[in-house]
Amino acid sequence: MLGICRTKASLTLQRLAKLNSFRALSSFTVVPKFALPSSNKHISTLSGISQHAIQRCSQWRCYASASSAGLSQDKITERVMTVIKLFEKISAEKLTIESHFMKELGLDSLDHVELLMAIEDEFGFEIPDQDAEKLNKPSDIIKYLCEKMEDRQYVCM
Amino acid sequence: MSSAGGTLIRQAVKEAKPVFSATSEDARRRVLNLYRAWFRQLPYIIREYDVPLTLPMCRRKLRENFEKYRQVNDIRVIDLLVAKGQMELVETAHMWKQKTHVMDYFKQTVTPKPTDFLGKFFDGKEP
Repeated sequence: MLGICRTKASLTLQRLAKLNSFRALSSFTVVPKFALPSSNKHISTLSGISQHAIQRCSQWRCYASASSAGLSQDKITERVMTVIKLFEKISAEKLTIESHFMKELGLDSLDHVELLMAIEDEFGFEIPDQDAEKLNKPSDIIKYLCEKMEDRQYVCM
Repeated sequence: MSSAGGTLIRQAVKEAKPVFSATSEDARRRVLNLYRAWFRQLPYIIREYDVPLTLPMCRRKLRENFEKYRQVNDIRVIDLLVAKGQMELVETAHMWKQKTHVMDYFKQTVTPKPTDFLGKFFDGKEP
C-alpha cells in the first residue's frame, strides 16, 4: 500500500512539474522487449503504476526492429483507427483515413486535443505542440507516428 | 472643420503591453495546454477528493468552463483567464482545496435567476 502511495506521489509531482511549464515536455519511454504485454493494451490514465515502471526501465535498450515488434505501418494504422473510433464525438460512418477532423468530422480544437491525448496514452509518448497543430487527419497521425517510431526504435506497451 | 484644421492632431498609437503571450497563436497554445493539464488531472481529482462525480461529468464541466469564454478574442484577457485557470489547477492538484470547493464547480445549490419578464415579475423584481 505504501509502495502504491509513493508511486502515486511521484507521479503527481511529475504532473505538478508539468503544470508549471506551459509547454508539454516530450518524453519518450523505452521498454525491454521481454516485459511487453500484447501490443494492443490500452494504457489508461489511472494505471499510473505501470507508467512509473516503464520510466524506471528507460536505461535498458531495446534491440527489436520496428516490424518484428508490431510497429509496422498496418499495426499502427489499426491502433490509431481503433482509438479514433472509440472517441464518442466521431461517427464511425464518416470516418476514413483521409477525413479531416475539423472540416469533415466537425471536431473542435478542444476535441482535437482530447483525441491526441487518447493517442498519446495509447502509444505511450507525448506529442509536442508544434507537431500537434499539424495533425489534422488520421493519415497525418499515422505518418507522424511511423516516423517517430523509426527514429527512436521504441517498443510500446 | 475649422477647429480640427488649426492644430495638427497627432494620434499616438498606444500598444498594450502583453501579459504573457505576444501573438494569438501563443495564447491559443497556452489555452490548449491548460485544457490538457486539467484533463489529465481529472481522474486524480476524483480519486483524491473522494467526490461523488464520474469522469464524464467532470469532463463535461471542464468543457463547459472552457466554452464559456469561447468568444473572447483579446489576447491579454485570454492570458489572464489562462492564469486564473492555472491557479485553480495548482490549488486543486496540491490538495489545498477541499471537497466542497471542488463540488462548487457544479453549483448544485444555486437557483438560476430569471431572465424573462414573467420570471422576474413573479420574483417581484422590477424590469
